[in-house]
Amino acid sequence: MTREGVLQLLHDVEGVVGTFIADGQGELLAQLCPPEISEPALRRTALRLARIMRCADLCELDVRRCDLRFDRYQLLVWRFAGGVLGVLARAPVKKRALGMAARLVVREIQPVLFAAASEAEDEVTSQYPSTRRSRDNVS
Amino acid sequence: MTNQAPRPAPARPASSIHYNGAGSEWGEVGELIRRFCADRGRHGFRLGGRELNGHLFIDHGRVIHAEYGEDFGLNAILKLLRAGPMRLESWRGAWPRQASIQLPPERLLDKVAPIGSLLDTRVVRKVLLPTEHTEPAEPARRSAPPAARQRARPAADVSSARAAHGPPTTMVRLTMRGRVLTARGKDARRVAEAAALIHALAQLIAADLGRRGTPAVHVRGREKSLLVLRSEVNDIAAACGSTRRLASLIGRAGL
Repeated sequence: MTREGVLQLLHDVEGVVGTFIADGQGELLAQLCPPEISEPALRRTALRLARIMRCADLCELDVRRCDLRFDRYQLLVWRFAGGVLGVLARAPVKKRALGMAARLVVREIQPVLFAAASEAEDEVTSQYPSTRRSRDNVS
Repeated sequence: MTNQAPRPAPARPASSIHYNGAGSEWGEVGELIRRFCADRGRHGFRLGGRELNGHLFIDHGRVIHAEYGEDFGLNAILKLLRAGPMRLESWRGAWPRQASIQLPPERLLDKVAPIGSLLDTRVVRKVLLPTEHTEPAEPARRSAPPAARQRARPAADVSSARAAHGPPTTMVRLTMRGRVLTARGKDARRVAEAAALIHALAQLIAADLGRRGTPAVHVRGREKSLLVLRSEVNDIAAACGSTRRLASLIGRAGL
């Protein structure tokens, strides 16, 4: 399943307007948002969210979630190993349903992200066979 | 919209609160409400307690808004009325954008009558400002009526209750320009700095996503939470502490 396909799972929850995934540094990896939210705006949002989380980490928070409320909208962010999942939803937000859907998406997306990461790594290691050999020996 | 209209200085009362509108005096909030609702003027106060701070706004003979620690509205009023003598200062900052309380003073004070017989005494003593790291002013306590004395919990009970909820919440208030108005708790400076940055970033995120409204942010960790939002008096309020302790505040912020 593609990243966008996984994100589509969240759009079955009532009130969800847009979703995106970014890595731990705030780089946008995938998104499924309405056209009025441009990709550059979403990239900036992902970077700023990463900054908010790092800022909270400095306050010894060990961040797992980050929720922002703007009037009738909420931006709900889940942090997982390797990135963050962001969901823009319109109130009233069904938090329990959304929480469960987010958990499912995080579970589905992690293999997709890790597969992409290992593919990228393979492209590098194939150029350096000795490195690849030593890695295979370890495993 | 914040009401920034000029306000008349609080009238000099003839009661036991010797408040001159310039410096700070100490008195009971119940007496303050009675006094300043009576003149049907417009008065804003900052209230400093031994542990928590608050605000009280009176307009046309009614208390229209109150904040105390993490509470606001009627909850804040109830706690303020039970809080004992507080430091009273005239509030010259922004006013709440909307009223959170609609009850006349007599109804407000009726609400605490069963537990606050001290309000019936109509006697408020001026107490001296406590020095740093000293016990609360004992003379005021000693002369409190029996009902008030019964309410006072033993120190051991209070400390065990606090221990059950973890360390106290760090709370800060900042102006929109980042000047710290009030701060208490562990690492208050760091929380203030984080709150200023988080609030600015949240505003930029809201603008990027084309969403209007003042952003409120809740960052949740394993056990701790950091909450950053605009207070009713339009400054930035931040609280950092145990998620359990902050639960009611998080709920009221719609997060």
